Amino acid sequence: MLRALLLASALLPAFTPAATAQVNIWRLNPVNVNLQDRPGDTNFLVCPPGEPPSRLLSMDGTGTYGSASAISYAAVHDGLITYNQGGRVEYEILYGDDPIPGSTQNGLTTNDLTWEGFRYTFIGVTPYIPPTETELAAQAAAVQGDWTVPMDGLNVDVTPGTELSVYCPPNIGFPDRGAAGTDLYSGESNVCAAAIHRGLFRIFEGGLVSLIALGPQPQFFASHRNRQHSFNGGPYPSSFVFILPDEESP
Amino acid sequence: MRPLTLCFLALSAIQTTPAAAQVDTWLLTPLALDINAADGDTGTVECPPRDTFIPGPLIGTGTYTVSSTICYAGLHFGWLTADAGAVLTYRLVDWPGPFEASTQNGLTSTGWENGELAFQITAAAAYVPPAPPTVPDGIDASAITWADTPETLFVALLEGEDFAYYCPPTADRSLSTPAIGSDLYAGRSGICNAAAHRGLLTAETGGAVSILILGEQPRFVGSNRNGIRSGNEGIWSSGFVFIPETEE
Repeated sequence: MLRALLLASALLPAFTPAATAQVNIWRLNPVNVNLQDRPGDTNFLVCPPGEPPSRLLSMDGTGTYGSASAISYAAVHDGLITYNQGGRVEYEILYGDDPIPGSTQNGLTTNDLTWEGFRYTFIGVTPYIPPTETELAAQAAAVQGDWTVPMDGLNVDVTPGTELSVYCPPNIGFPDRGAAGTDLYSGESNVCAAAIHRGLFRIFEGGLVSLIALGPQPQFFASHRNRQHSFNGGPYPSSFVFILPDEESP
Repeated sequence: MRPLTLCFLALSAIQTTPAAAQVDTWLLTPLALDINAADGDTGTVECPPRDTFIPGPLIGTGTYTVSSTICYAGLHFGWLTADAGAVLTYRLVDWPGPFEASTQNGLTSTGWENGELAFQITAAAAYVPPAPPTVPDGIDASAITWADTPETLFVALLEGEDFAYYCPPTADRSLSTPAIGSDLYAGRSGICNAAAHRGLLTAETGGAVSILILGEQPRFVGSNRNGIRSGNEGIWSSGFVFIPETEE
């Protein structure tokens, strides 16, 4: 196992045990959610119940907001959600230079939006649905994954054929440790980073994933998926593949 | 549901050379083609040429019971030869009985006293074999059918090697081999269905994919993806994954 870890650290970026970042969903703007969203793209954010900002936030626009404005507070400003109830908001990315005046609404004050660039406007809102007790219990019962250790460094049984549930806490930015492979990942990959690469959840949301631990495989392929790059790899003694949740039938 | 799954697993575990999911059309009966078959209905069935026989039920002479095999009835009554095959047209009739037993053209049919829904063959057209799939210009891959698996292509045991295949567009996936697994697929999965399940191509467009052959894997878990349900499997002697080419 030690050898495997040493080998892994030679192949993948430095092993830096970073404290898991506290992710404040309320501060995320569209650029944080997806750097690659372009005008016409739509996206969403699930805002849990929150509190008024402790200090003045720089937000601009009314109805249409500058892309640096925090989505959740903008949704409060726009009257779509309240601090008590939160909500799931959908927005569309726009581009323009039309000046849009700031305003004071629902206790939040925004600046005039005067600069040319990406903006966004809300296109829908649905109520916030808190995780059920079953979901929370499943999260608690799962292996607590972090963003630094490889799959074969998790302190659990990874005999080939074993099914494993791993809970990845929310994180920001890019994972500290990468993944090798596409669809089929080598055992030196971080499970949470591989899950981001496979598109199972978004990094700032965290998520519960299930995988099957597998044995040796001859080769692993790099690709760029879901804003996450993965590495190539040669033969490696352990590997895993995710158990995919069913897609809803169209 | 569970006993069925277990039974399926047990069956597939002892099956060393899984057959491609090909329907032997020679074993089709009017009842198998339409469970609501009734007097006056007509139908057609393709009987490709064949050199080995697994005779199915055959009751009657000229007029056969509705649970008799259509192609063998045609062979029995002289509508086609096994060398040439044919496309047979038949019509259902309410027959008062009896059905006569006879031996003709090397086939023996059995008799039946009572009246029953029956069929008579009314026409035979020449059998034209389907054209082999062709690969569009500019794609460097071997054309395969939607029934092909690494096992039917004899590459399932070549662990660590990669192969490029072209799946032609298809209007009918009913004769295709299902995908087993998700992301990691068992060696008896239809490659084209697995590619469609993985979202790499659709039946309407077809497309080229590359696979990496893997060795024995302990488990495959099915899922519902891109409108395709893939199956579960326990240990299987080979597996494969798709080699990424472009960004999703």
